[in-house]
Amino acid sequence: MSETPFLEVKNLSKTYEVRRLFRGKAFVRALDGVSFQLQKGKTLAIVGESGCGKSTLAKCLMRIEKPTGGEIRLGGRRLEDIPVREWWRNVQMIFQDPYSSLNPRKKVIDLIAEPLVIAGGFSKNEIRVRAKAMMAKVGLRPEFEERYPHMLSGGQRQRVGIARALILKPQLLICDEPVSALDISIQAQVLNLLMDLQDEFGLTYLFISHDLSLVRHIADDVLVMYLGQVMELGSREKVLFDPQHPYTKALLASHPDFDKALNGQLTLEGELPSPLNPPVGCPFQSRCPRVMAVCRERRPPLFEVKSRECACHLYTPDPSDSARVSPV
Amino acid sequence: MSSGGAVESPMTAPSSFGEFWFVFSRNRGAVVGLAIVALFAFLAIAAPWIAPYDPALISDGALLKPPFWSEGGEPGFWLGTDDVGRDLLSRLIYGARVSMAVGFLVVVVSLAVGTLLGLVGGYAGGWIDAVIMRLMDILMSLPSILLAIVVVTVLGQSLVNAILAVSITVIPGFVRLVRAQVLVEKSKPYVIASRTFGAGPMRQIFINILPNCMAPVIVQGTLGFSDGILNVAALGFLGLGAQPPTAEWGTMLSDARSFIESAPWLVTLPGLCILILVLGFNLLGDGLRDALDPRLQK
Repeated sequence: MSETPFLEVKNLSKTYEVRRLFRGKAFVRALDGVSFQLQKGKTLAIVGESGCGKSTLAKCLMRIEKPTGGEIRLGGRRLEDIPVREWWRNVQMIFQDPYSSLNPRKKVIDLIAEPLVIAGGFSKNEIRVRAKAMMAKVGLRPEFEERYPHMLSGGQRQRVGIARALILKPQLLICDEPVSALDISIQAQVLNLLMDLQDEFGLTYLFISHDLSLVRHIADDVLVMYLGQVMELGSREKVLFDPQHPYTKALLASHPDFDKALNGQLTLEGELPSPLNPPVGCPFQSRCPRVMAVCRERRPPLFEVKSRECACHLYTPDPSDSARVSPV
Repeated sequence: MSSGGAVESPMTAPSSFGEFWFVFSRNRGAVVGLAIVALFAFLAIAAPWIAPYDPALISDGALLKPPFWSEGGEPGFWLGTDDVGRDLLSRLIYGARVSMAVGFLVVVVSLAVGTLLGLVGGYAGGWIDAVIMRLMDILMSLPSILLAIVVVTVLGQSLVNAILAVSITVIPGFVRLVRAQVLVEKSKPYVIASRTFGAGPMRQIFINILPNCMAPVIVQGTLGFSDGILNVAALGFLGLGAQPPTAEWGTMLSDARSFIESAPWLVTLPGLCILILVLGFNLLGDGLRDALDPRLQK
């Protein structure tokens, strides 16, 4: 981890202001001090329940939303120093819903060619040739060229989405739940396609998912998020097969594929607390089976435990001293 | 897309014409409407060839002749003549010309302006949207015929000004419709995706969003036809629209109203023409809406 990371996110925050009638403003902390690093050619999976800020993170990285705090660096350069068009040539995204993310009135070939058309500088012929080549790469047969999205299956649509995202030859691909809208049998195909493309183009993936078995399949590193904060971050082996944070344990225990020993020990009850007024202290306290007094008072910092980072007072060396340890 | 009610996208997939026609033709009212509109359109286009007389031709010997089926009717004047001896049938046929043209122009003007304002307001949001929408609220708060009268009074009495006036009163409907549609479309992932390829506002508005908003606009346009025809006829009746001797149904009604007892066909027939044509457009509009909106399909 000594070289410059390809993507570096430091202390990223995104706060939405909510205006409520008669009750003044409220703030939703969608992202709260998120930090991680991603090396070139690797895959980082972001895991968490819905509403934990995964998609906000994707939007900030796609520059669809402006972060309210923190820093993003791509190849060592600050996000603010990179013109947005250049950013989008390097960072692209695959959307969750393959239905609404394709313009229903455009043909497949035009959908895939759209980024090239907008980028400009290519002849009509060149655009067509490139789009066709990309179709072949993602496994779409040439006869789909002239079809409209509604004539395609979900898997085929998502292939169109992937082809479109890759045609500008980006280096970082943000996959926002890319297969969650697909049938299980198709999920594996698309996932394998993504992994093949990663090898071929040397892509770096930020893979957002709530499906732990997918994550186990594709990720190098795993980041577990809860209420906009990082709970646990480390390599796949460490986080998924030797989880330390009670939340990670609970997530894994709810999944039949993972460590049977965890089964039944921990179950997640209730729902995420409202991000409108998050609890003071640890965000997970309201559902944590091992909650302590200090959890209700102080937010645990990210701390290195068994070669991964974990934010839990169970592992803070001296909980009363935790304020001294600054988050990474 | 086969999951029935769970489909939230109100998009009309670019269905083939055959598919559209299949749904449309099952709606009997819509087919009748289409037939009526087609008939009047034919009359309007072919007026010079099928009308037996010039609409302004005055026949001295034939004043207030009744239609041929009633007593005293002359075979030469099928639907009778008016108070100065002009053939009513010819005037009605030429009147179709005026009404179709009026309807068309009203729709073209208001649809163009309304769609543009709706697109800009919906896409830009913020104060631009607020200004446009408040202006439209003001227009909508005035009774449309009153507003049209004001506009005509300011601009002067003529058919062109009447068309302009009526167009203005129809604009808010289009603006609201298009804006609402744009608000739905612009937050869809395909628009956001396009933005991440670097698409600028022009491309977003006209290439991505507009085509996906068109189905309801086409329907509203068809209904706008009938609004336009009705309102211009009303202005004509009030003497603020087409001026004599133009054969316009509303003006004809107004000219003939003093003869309502002695020569009832003079008011009845132009009135029936307005009724039937407006009904035709409304039926057609309803049919189009049913055929273009997949949510209404069983």
